[in-house]
Amino acid sequence: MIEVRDLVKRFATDRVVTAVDHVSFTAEPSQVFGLLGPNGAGKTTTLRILSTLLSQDSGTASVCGFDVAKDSAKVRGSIGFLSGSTGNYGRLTAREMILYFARIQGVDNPGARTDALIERFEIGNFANQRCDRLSTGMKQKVSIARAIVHDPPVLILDEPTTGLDVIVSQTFLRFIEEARSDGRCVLFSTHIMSEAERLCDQIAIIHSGRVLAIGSLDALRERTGERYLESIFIRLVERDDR
Amino acid sequence: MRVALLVLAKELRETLRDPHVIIFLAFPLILYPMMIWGGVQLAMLEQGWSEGQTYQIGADGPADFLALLDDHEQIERVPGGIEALERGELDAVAVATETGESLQTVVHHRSQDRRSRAAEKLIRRELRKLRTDRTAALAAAHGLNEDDLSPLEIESEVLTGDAEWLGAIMATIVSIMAPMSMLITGIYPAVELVVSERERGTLETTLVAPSPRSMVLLGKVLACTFLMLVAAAGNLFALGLTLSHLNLLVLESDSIWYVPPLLPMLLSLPAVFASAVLCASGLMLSMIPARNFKEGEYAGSIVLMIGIVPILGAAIALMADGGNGLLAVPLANTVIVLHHAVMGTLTVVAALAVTAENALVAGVVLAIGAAITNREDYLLAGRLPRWLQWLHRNEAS
Repeated sequence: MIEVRDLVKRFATDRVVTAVDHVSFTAEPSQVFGLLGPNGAGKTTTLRILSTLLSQDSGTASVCGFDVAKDSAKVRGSIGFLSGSTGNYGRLTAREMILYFARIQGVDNPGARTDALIERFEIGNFANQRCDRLSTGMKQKVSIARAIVHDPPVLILDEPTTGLDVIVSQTFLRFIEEARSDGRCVLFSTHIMSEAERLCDQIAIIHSGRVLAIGSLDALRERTGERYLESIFIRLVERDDR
Repeated sequence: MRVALLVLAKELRETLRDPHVIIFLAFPLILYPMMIWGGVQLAMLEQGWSEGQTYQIGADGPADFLALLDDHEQIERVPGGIEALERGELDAVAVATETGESLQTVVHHRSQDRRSRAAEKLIRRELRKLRTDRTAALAAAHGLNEDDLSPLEIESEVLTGDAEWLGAIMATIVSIMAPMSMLITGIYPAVELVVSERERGTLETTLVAPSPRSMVLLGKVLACTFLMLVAAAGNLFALGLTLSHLNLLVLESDSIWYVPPLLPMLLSLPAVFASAVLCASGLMLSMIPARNFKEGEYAGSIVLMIGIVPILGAAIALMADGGNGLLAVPLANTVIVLHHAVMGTLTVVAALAVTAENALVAGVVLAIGAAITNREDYLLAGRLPRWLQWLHRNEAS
């Protein structure tokens, strides 16, 4: 579903910074794949390459069999993208926001799809309110509906719970679990260990642009001899820094 | 194109709900009439004030001169000369000296003093009456009739009416103001449509949709164009109101009015539209490297400064030789076309040529924008390609 091979991305201004350094991993349907790493590790850059917002310098990446560099439009049609910094159009209502993205995604019968999502995410009570007048939780529901309006098989979520309170975060995490049950492949990045422990079937620990370890939580425990993900993470990062 | 129209409709819906934009669009409708109304009211107030004053005047001269001043109800003749005037004890000092058959008069006043300036004007007005009386007396002394003292009569015959005169004024104002107001009013929407969207994090949601970024950019350019044209139309409507008001108040006539001929005006619209697309494309392109609202305004101001040069050049050329030599210069050609359209002298060939030229240049600017936004993350991250980074240094995301 998602296949990444030797992905490299450098940013060059005054000096060259390698943000993603030969990253490889594979994520399957009905699987939650977590990219775990500190700020500046290269998680966002990797997800942006997979979302076709950025282009890679070398290596290959494909989503649902479509190459991110060559078939970018088909890749974008296969993914739902959401990040912690994703905003809603403040002067559109929740309904207008979902409908706009249904139309721009080329969804058949966008009105009916919008109504269905409004019902599924219990948006009805505030569907006709402008997004800038909604609470954080309400906005997040609208964002989720917007991201899956075209029923994508892959979800790419970049630190989606950053800045959310516990209750809204729980809503979001339940949504990820539902997506896995629906057969979607969910690739999400976080630096919150408890979220990764709860959700991820596969975890890639990423540091300074490189993947330090990859596998299930049990496999990582076995490899490092540590019980908790936080300890596993610290052990791997310290070993890498040495 | 479907995506561009969807983006256009969304942008217009969202932007027109922004109270800042509404105020921006409505502002000229209030500003111009208020400015002229305020100016006229101020002039009337000044006139009313000066008519209600009594001025302290020091004077020296022949009897008829002093009698003229004494007879005026607003003038109080008091002792004192230039020194008293300098101390502020007098409003003016008038001195008249007989030189042969002529009366040489000097009115001393203080230019920084409002009362003193008004006193000087009043004395000069009264002296004109004295000149008429003295001319008549001089003519009589030489056995002449006063009416015979006109050795030269000058008359001019105007073939066109006052309406055409007003039309020429209107053509100059409209042709300069329309492209100028398009550029000025385009800055805020351009910043909103790119930089503010990027800051709010809504731009990436649109860019991950399976639609070409060039179409997203085109939708935004069209939205900006629409807002610029609405603003320009508002400006011209407000100018029309202002001219009408000026007509009534200053010319004291409501019969003088000029309606631009319909056909040339319609002919000019495609050229104006292409010009607006060019301005919007330039503004939108300038927003790509802007990382925040302030930088967006700065970039828009640079485009404004660049755009003003051909507009002012065309304005000067219009006065010098009609400006046809600038038809090959984008934006300047819009000024020339609008001028001819308002005057009713626009030809089909000129209108089509300018439309094609502006459309071509707008197309090139749009193509550069599309090439930049399609290839990398410039639109999203607020960066320029490396070969353009000398224009605007910033850091990698």
